[in-house]
Amino acid sequence: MAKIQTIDLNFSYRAKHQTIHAVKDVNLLLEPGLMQVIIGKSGSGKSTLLSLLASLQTPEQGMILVDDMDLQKMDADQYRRKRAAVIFQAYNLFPLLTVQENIIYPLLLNKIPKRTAETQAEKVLEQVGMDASFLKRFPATLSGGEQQRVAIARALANQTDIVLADEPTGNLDTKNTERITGLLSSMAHNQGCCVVVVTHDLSVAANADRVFAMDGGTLSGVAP
Amino acid sequence: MNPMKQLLRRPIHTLFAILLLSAACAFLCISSGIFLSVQESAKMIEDTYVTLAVPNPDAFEFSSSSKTTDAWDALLSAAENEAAVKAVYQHAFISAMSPELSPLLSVQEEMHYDPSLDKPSDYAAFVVRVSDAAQTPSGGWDVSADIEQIVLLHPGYTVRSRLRFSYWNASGGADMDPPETGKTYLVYGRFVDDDLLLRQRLAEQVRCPLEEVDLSKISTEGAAALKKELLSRGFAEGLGDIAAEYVQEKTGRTTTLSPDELEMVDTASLFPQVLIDSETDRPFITVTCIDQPLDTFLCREENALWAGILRNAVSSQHGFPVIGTDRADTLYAFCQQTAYLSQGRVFSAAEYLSGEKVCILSERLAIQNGLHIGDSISLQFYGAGDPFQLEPSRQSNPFAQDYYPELADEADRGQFEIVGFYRQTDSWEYSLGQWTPNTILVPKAACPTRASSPHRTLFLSVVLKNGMSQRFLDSIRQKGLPENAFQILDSGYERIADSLENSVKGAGRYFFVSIVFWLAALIIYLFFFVSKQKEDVARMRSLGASSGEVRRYLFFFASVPAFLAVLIGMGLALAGMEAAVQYICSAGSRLDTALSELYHSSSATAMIDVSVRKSLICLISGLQAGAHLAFFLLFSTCMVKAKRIYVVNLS
Ligand SMILES: Nc1ncnc2c1ncn2[C@@H]1O[C@H](COP(=O)(O)OP(=O)(O)OP(=O)(O)O)[C@@H](O)[C@H]1O
Ligand SMILES: [Mg+2]
Repeated sequence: MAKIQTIDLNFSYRAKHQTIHAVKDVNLLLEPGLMQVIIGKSGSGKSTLLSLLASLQTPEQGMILVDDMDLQKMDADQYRRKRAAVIFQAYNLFPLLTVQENIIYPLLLNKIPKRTAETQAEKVLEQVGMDASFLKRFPATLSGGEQQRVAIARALANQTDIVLADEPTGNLDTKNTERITGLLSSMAHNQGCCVVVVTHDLSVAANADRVFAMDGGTLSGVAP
Repeated sequence: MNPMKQLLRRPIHTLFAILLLSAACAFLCISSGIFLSVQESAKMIEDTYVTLAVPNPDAFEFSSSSKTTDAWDALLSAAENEAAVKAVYQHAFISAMSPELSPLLSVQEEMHYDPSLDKPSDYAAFVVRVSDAAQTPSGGWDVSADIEQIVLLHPGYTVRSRLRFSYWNASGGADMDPPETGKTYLVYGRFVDDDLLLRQRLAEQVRCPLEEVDLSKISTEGAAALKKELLSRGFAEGLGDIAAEYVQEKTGRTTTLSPDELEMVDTASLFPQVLIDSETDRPFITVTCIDQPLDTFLCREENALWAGILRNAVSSQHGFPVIGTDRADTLYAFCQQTAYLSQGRVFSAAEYLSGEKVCILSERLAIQNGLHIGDSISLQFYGAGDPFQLEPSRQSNPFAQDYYPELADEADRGQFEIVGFYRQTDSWEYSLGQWTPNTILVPKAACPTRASSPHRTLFLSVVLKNGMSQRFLDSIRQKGLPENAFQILDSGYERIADSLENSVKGAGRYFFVSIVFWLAALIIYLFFFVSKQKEDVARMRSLGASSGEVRRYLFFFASVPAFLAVLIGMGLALAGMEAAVQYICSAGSRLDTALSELYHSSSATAMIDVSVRKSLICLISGLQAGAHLAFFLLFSTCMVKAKRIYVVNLS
């Protein structure tokens, strides 16, 4: 049951000639048991905020509290491995591993026996609407939507209490979008996960318990 | 994440990476093999090639002994204070008696019989019956006799039936009795096989092998007519007396014989000695009439002198010339390669220093006496001094002195272990610096201190620094000595010096290039193969893999192909080394002619030792593997430490 709170969160990308202030003074409360959606224009800093929440980057200013504990003082590897599952916008599947191997990778990191992990993989794959015949295929042989669903399956398989999804339905048809949206909201509602979804898709936003809007790195609105 | 799985799922990439690294590894192995071999060869060539300066007998006055000493001292001081000189060795000479060892005679060598080389094994004694005697103008007697009994003769000589000898009144006292025809005499002296000398002369003249000379084909019948005819054709001068003609059966070649030569058939000569009777202190000649059997004669007290003479003669027959040296390989004959070690070894530095009782014999002497390396011979040193005292201009074949017990000291006796055999290309020749195959080499420190260092070419070796001979000669000239005072023997060093230097440089160049190639291959491998893992690494990190897990993964991912590559490279190098050396060194190769020259100079070939190179390849491969591991450890650590590496491509 994880609660995430950001306090005056700031982050900039520093390149040679310019600094891009991607996240500006963001104060946010993300609660367990809710499906929370972040929307905003392209380049508004949504993915950056998500990577900060996933501890893939460290904030420049401000802090992130996970269950009232400073994220920066926690073991980042353990946090990513055990607490926060990330569904990446670019899927980030291992190209040389099969669908099954990709899905069980985080489970093996958590020292879950291979057999158990494999059963679990089959189960989550089914949940995202793919049958066992996909298990032995390589990501390159899958369509974009299939790859995206494998990435979602990998995040779900680990059963973490925080799910951070970056455009999880960007490549999916309506039917699969519905399925995934349903899956994410059921995780929030039934399993009490803290689900954060970044999306452009209004149908996803429509299913959200709470919607945050971002613009130019700042939080411009919250609904309801 | 299993690195093996990752490698096998991209086999072409992996294979290419392995091939690149193994090529670099093989190249490095081979070039370092060549580099070290060439270095080693160069070092050994520097050590083994002796550039020798020896006094040139043509430019050097040997005749008067005081002048000789002065000139010798001048030579020595010129040689000793010279920057181009490595060392100066004065070899020693002494005689040694070895009762169990039988010396070689020149008479045993086809067409090389030279009585003066058989000293002192040529002492002989006979009981003879006088058949003819003629008085000489100086009052002595020329005697012809039939040999009745051989009292003493080296078994190498053939026994003849007649003996010629001359003698005179050596004591200068009362008139000596003339030799009486029909009476028996005991004669002692140096033996010369006239019959053999005659055969040798005839064989040379009619150009046939010695054994084909048949003295029964000498005919006296036509001699007078032949002389007449030759005179009529104008051969008056220098023709001498013609007593007979010899016709070689096979070839029909003819030659003439003088009356003296006709006398030589089946005849030997003996040269009696003038000795001092120690009791009366008067000289006497070693010819005496005996009117009783020899044994009875020798047993009588007044003839004890004769018994002593014969005893000493037996010892003299086992006298050997000994050269004591502080470095055998600087002896003239070895440097000129008219002598070389055919078996065993030369003396070690420790043996030279401590005067260990070790010796080197000629192979022929060893064969004649059934000796092998490791056997021991006893040597009783005796005498000392210049063996050439009576022949000032002689420069070769020193001979042992005559043996007298007074010349020997019991303390100078010892068992000498044979450590090597030398072989000569022209033994029994009178060429400069040569010695007879009876000559025994020992460390100088093993000789008694009274052993002399004669002022002869053979006994002085000035060892120059390789490649410095011209500088040495220049400074000799500056010191006022004649330019040709020293003769230089460099055993061909000057010829290979340039190619030696170039090949060392060439091999160094190859080695450098191979190191650069290896480093380049390693960098390509790391940045174009291992670095390609950075995206997977980012994925692993974003899914919660710790930095240790990632480092381990990267390390194994890099090490497995590299390890295989080193194994393959090592195999390639082992298999290809000889071929590569052959190719680089082959005359046709345009790669490096200097290496080729070095390889083909016979002395270097043996030095580039195959087994050494093989172990070297293993060593270099091991070092490479070690270097790889160190590099990969560093690289994987750096890659994990690189900040933000795992957010690449995540959004
Ligand atoms: N690695 C980076 N280096 C420099 N600038 C970056 C980097 N990643 C993102 N940015 C910049 O930061 C800003 C926010 O980017 P971000 O990826 O968070 O946007 P986004 O809201 O996720 O957009 P989209 O909806 O297109 O995914 C953008 O202006 C982008 O150009
Ligand atoms: Mg984004």
